[in-house]
Amino acid sequence: MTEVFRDRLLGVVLMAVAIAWLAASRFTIPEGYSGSFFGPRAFPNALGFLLLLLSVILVAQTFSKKTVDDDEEEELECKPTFQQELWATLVTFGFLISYFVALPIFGFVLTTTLLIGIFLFFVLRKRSIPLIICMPLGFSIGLWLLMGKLLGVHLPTGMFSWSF
Amino acid sequence: MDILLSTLAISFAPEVVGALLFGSIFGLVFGAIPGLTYTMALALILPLTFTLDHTAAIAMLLSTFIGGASGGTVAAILVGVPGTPSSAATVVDGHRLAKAGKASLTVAMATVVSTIGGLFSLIVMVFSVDFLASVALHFGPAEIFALLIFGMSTICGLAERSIVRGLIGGVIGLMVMIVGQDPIDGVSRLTFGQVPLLQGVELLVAMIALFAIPQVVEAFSQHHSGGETVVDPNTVKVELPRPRYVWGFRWNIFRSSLLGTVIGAIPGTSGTIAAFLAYSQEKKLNKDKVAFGHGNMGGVVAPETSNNAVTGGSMIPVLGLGIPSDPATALILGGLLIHGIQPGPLLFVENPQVIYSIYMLFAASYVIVMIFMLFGVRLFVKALHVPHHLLALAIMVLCIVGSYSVRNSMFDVGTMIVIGFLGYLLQKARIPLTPILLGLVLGPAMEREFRTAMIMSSDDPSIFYTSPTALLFFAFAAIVVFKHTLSGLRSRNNQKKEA
Repeated sequence: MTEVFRDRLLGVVLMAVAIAWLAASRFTIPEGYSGSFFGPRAFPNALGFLLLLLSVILVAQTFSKKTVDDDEEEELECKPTFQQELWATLVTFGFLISYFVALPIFGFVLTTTLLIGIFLFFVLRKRSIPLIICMPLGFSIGLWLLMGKLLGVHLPTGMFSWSF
Repeated sequence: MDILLSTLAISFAPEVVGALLFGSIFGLVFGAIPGLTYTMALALILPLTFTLDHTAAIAMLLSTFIGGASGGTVAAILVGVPGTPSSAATVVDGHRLAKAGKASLTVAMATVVSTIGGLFSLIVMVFSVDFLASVALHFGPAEIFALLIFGMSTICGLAERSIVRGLIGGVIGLMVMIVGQDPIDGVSRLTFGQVPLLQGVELLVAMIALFAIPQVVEAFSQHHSGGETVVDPNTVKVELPRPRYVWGFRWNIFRSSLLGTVIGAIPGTSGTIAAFLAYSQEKKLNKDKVAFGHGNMGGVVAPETSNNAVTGGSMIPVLGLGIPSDPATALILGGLLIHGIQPGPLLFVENPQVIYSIYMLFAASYVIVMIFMLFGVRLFVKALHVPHHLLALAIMVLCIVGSYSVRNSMFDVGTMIVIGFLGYLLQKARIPLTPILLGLVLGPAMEREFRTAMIMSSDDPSIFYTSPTALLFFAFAAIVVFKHTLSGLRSRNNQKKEA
């Protein structure tokens, strides 16, 4: 995929977003009650048009581009491959989504301990027993003590309402 | 003189010193953890002050405020995630310096200049509280809108390689903040009937997502590809800045302190705006433009000095007029009122001792926070010894906890994941993230001030060009845009000639 193609694709996606945004603003935002010409729709509409204009400029710029900038490619010699980046993206968002789902059910301490342990063992392939035990326990209990007990910040207790 | 001496004795009584120490540590911890803010720290500590004597209560509130304002730096520099919104501008150069093995020097330098900025603003506060408070009162919605436009114009400087991409980032940031309840009419906008969306996107949640998630993905992909840079513990030196080194940044410190103090005195503005303006101003004036944004100490000095100078500036309308500038100073004002202290012009006449003790405690808080931070540097840099992929795992947990604790809402955690994914995609598409952040920070205030100004003038736009202050800020914004466009065109022409 060349840089010009990437920029054109980005421009087209942004144009579609801008058009969808304008349509949503037009049909879902009610008129205001202040009586001013600049009601609740004014800013969303202006931003939609601005994004549309900028994405058109972005696409137009690709037609005047003759050379491809290789600067960024030179910056990282051992740049991760697409598969490696995809793996990293999947494990990151997989962890975050699992945490998001488990947190209200199991509570903070249990979710954090289990998920960090699983991530260390299965994803990062760590086999050091002290690390697999100490990091999840230390991190979850440490944060629970710091946030919940010392700083007075509420953390989710889970559906079963454990004491932590 | 007698009043001064008696104030000194009261201000440094053991109970007051204890309150200063406790407040400083409490604020520092809140500032350093992404997701927790000093406003939250002040809200939590306020009930603890009820049983204290009024001087100790003031000491605890001020030291929490100052500790929180300074603590955000640690996470911004070492982990690359801003602890507080006002330390977001520090991430750009600060984290790169840390990666280059200058973590302790950067944290220590940020601490020293933060103290200088804070003390500078205190001096300005002492000598000009009446004058600046009256000037700040002349800032209506039109003037604040013009100031915010000037703030937005700095996108041109933050846009890295392409102004168009920078502007796209800024517009996306502004769009994100549109979702939720309208600030003037209260109608729902783009919520599609979803009740949780009514509360809109929390700025801190968006910031955590934008800065942390792309970095976590990068750390895991580097680990998976075997290209992870392992920091040798022996190369991470504990280095503190020498006076001569700090002196080398004197003009940067002076400009940023002045800017922060003035911005802080204007109600409705914040340390984040001051930090970005100072960063942009320094980027323009710095001779080493190439390194700026890639690990330049000037890019840490400017935002850190400026966002701490805001603390003194923001106390000017509180003490001089009894008007809070932001939620944090509103909590301090509330604390003062609870203890029977009514800020305003009369306080200076009727109870000068309270004013003097505020000045002394303000200075003492900065010195205590600086001592804690400089001693803590040895401990902080240990974070760099942890392999990046393990640090990334810890950051993910902190992102979840931080997003949740802002409003105790799982919706915010979901929002953080979605914005994190969006931020990652945008970074891959080479849309710079800093302009997005600027849009997020300035967007709500810009819309609110513009529409308030238009309602006040019955939709007459002359409100913007009949005010000399507003015109001045518009002119500054125009100059910034023109200058960056011109330099962009020049560098393009030079590239063509070289080709």
